[in-house]
Amino acid sequence: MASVSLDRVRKAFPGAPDAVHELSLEIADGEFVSLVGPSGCGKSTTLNLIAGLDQPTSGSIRIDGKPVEGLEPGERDIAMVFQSYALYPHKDVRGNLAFPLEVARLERSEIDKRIAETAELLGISKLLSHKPRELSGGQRQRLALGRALVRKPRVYLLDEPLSNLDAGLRAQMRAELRRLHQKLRATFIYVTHDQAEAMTLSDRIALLRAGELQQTGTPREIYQRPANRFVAEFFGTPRINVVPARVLGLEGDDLVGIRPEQIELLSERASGVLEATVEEAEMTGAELWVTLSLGGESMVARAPSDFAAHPGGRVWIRFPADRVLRFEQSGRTLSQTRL
Amino acid sequence: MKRALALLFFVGPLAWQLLTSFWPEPELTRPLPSALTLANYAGLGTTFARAVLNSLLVAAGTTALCLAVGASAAFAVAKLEFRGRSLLFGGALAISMFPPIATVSPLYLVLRAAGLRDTLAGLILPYATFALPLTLWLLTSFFRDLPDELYRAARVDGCTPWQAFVHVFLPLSWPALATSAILVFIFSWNELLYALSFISTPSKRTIPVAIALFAGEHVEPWGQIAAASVVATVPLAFLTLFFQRRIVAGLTAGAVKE
Repeated sequence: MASVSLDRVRKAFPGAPDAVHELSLEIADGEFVSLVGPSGCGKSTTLNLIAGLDQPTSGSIRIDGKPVEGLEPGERDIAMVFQSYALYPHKDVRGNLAFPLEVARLERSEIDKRIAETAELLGISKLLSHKPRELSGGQRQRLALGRALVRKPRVYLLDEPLSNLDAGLRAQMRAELRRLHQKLRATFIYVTHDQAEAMTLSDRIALLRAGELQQTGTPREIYQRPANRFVAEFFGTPRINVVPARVLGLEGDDLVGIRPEQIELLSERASGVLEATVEEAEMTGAELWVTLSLGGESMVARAPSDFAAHPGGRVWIRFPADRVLRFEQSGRTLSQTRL
Repeated sequence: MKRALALLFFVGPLAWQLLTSFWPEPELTRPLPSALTLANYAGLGTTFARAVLNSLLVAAGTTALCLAVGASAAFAVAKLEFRGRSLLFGGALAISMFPPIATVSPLYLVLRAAGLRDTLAGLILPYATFALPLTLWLLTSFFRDLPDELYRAARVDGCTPWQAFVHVFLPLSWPALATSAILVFIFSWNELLYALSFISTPSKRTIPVAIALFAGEHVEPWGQIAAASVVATVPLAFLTLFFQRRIVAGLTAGAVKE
């Protein structure tokens, strides 16, 4: 197993702003870290740099403490799972699993043993003689995972591996990935644009925006103490409400953020509440997402599914003052002082 | 009706050629032959058999050389990053813009200097050069269509770029290789200008040259020319049919894209 460390890694493509800008990141041995961000934020580029498929413009990358500069992807003891799976269409399942081992010139008996183990682990033992085109989406996904597992690498790089699956299968594979990580105790670096996926899977999350690292932390830290407005708005569904402080009856000209689940809706006036008008109510099943109009701003609150809210109706809200996040005037950084 | 007309348009001349080849030479001016004969074929002789063999060697050699160079070059242009990539691609295409007649004399001098004048290798080399742009063009667009992630997967799996080409991309490119092979083969099979200019020994002539030289000063042996044309066409037809099956099989596999 191995740690991965990035030191001021920069990747520039000609005639474009840096794809990755001075990125420093320490990933501990056995950790599950997600690189998250909107598309074009440099997360996949970062993964390619770690894999050795691309060379950094400057900065250094170490795997297990050793610089990997100049090492071929195959010499880095990493395996990668691709978004499109990138299975070899002309090889059957066995051939796909065997290929990395054959290239590494392992003994035939060892190759067969590892294929059997891996296929067993992923439940694809019965499919060994099938071609990728004969497999379902979920089975292809497993095969892609298997081709990484079979090599027993020290670091797994996963590039949006679940984004081609339908919702049900995705939840199942998520749990399976988590289980695999616990079993293998290897280092996982996981790229996704899906904040919920990053939240549920990761030990730690690194959020990137336009090639710059915004924040690293556990899912809880990132959600509760976002470093700036961008981080705050990236995580959480529905997204955090950001409004001028005065709208919530608070001091100052800053913008403040309050998460929808922190807003309590009341159908009657009480002490210390604010009055709001219901603009819209969306039933999601377990709960009701209510869009409110308050002081000329729109806000979303999550209410129990049986809460009575009708467009145009009047409601009252209250919220715990210590859960309000206050952003600096620029809107970019967040002062850590709580209200 | 339309179909019949189209068929007549395409197949008619071939059928006429075929019929002429079995037509007794002295009766060519009559509306119909009194009997069909193999005499035209028998009259072709060993010199022509030799020309067929030469053509086969030249066309096969050109195809092999062209595909070997073209496939690896196309792979590099499509999937690898290196300096002068577009220059290479553009340069190769620029070659095809020269009218062949303008290149005959310089090529003749080059081949003579290299000791390749009047050899079959001296035909294969220029043929391959002129067929290469087309091959490069075809194969590059084919390799570009194969997903980049496949290349990166092979690299992560420990392949060198060359191994990725041989083990992953070549096995997937049969349809494109077959298409290029047919085109290159037909080009070198039919080529007349260079073959006529660079070859002087009769036993080294290719089919187009042999047929062109059938006509003597006072005779035009139409029957024999027709027979020779049929002999020259049949291998091409079979080759195309054979590869066509591969092309169709390759396309319908469709395993690469979702």
